[in-house]
Amino acid sequence: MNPILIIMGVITLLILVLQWIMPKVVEPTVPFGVRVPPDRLQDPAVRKAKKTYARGLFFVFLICVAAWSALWRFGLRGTTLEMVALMLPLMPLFLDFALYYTIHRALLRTKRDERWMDGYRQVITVDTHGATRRKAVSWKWSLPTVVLLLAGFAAGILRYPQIPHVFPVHFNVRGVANGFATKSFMSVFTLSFLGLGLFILMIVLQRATLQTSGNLDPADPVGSAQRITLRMKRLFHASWLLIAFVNASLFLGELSMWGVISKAPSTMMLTTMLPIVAGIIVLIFMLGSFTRKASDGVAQGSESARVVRRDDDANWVLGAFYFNREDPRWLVEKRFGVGFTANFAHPLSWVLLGGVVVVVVVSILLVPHVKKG
Amino acid sequence: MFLSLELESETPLYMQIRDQIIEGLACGELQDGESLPSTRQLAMDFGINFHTVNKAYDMLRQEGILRLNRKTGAIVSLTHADPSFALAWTARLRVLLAEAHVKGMSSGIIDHAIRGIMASFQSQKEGEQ
Repeated sequence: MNPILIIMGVITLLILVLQWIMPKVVEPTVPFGVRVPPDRLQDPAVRKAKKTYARGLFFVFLICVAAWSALWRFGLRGTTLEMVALMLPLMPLFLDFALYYTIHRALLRTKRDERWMDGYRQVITVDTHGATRRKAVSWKWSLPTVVLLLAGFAAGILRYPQIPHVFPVHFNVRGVANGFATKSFMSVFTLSFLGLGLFILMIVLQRATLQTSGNLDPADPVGSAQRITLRMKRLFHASWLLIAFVNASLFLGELSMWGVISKAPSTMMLTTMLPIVAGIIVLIFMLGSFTRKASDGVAQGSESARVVRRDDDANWVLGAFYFNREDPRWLVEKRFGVGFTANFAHPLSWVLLGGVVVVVVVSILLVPHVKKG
Repeated sequence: MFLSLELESETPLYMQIRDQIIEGLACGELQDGESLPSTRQLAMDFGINFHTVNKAYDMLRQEGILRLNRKTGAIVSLTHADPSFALAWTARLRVLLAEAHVKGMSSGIIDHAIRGIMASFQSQKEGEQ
């Protein structure tokens, strides 16, 4: 059996698990991207939306299983199979979005027709001491990444004299080299630079996200401020862990390029793909623990309060893309998901998006071996 | 302290910010010498235009409540009322009391309300300390 097919199957399954727990992870007062007042959380329409999502996701799972077994049965070979298999994780992403958007639209319509927001004062509440929240984030979690980056550069420098003039940079699934590069400082350290780039990107993003404090629940400002702090902390820890795993994967890829470790097919797959899968497992684990914490907070407070967070549904195009010209932030917390998304009304978002596209295109053109080490 | 903005309210946003900072000071939630977030930061927290926060801070600066500094940001720095303030304040109070009078509120009720509010400033201030 083809190892790429197995790994892509596992990744697809992990994505589905993440999508499954997503409604429990997101802000409870924003089910499926629709801001609802607290007394509507148990509304039949909200319950129905949850049920529809779970059912729909099960169908998505069946479709993915069918696609995967079709690939397995028809025994595609070589690059065709690799290409098709790499597309597999995209399936749950697209299907889940379609599902989400359908439910989002329906819930939005119910909310409007039944006038859910009537009788509520809608406010935006902030803490003038938000700076303390910024201090709560520790940089300790970036340490594994720093160590791996330094190890990569150190190993490269030590190994440099032994690397042949032409060295392999791409291996097929069997571990046979099928791409080569001429030895130069840049070609030897490509993966290290990629890791360094990721590290810098993560720091920039973390700094930017710390500037944006989530809006507090006006009915329970103290409690919601604590929950936001906790959420930020967990999010940063999880993303640093993930970056560390990606860097571990890059490091192992480098070692096989430089001939430090063996290139047998089984070791190849293990050394390069396992850290990534492990990273996703860690993420799921972190999300799971923060689901429980998040739901702890909702039950108390905010009942019977007639003051609610402002209805900002209109700022979310398709329920997923933030567009607000008045808002000076270029990063905001995601509506349905974990992490941050860009404010597409902010010019900086487009500059950065362009930057990311350039980086992706350049790395596809220059380092075709990254995916497979 | 917490600040809340109501976007749909008839009171302009900068006025809401200014009013709450003054109330916060009266209640002791905010102290003389304490620093407030920078214009930029507060605008980002609210997700509103920088100019709105700037307008509120500038108003507070003119009123002798905030000191704005490029480096240190906004710091509460109270100056005592001068005669011109007392005059302007009395004029505003006159309008407020006229409203109550026209609506038939008795001076007893007005008096009670004023004492109640002043007492709440006092007690909350003690509570904070």
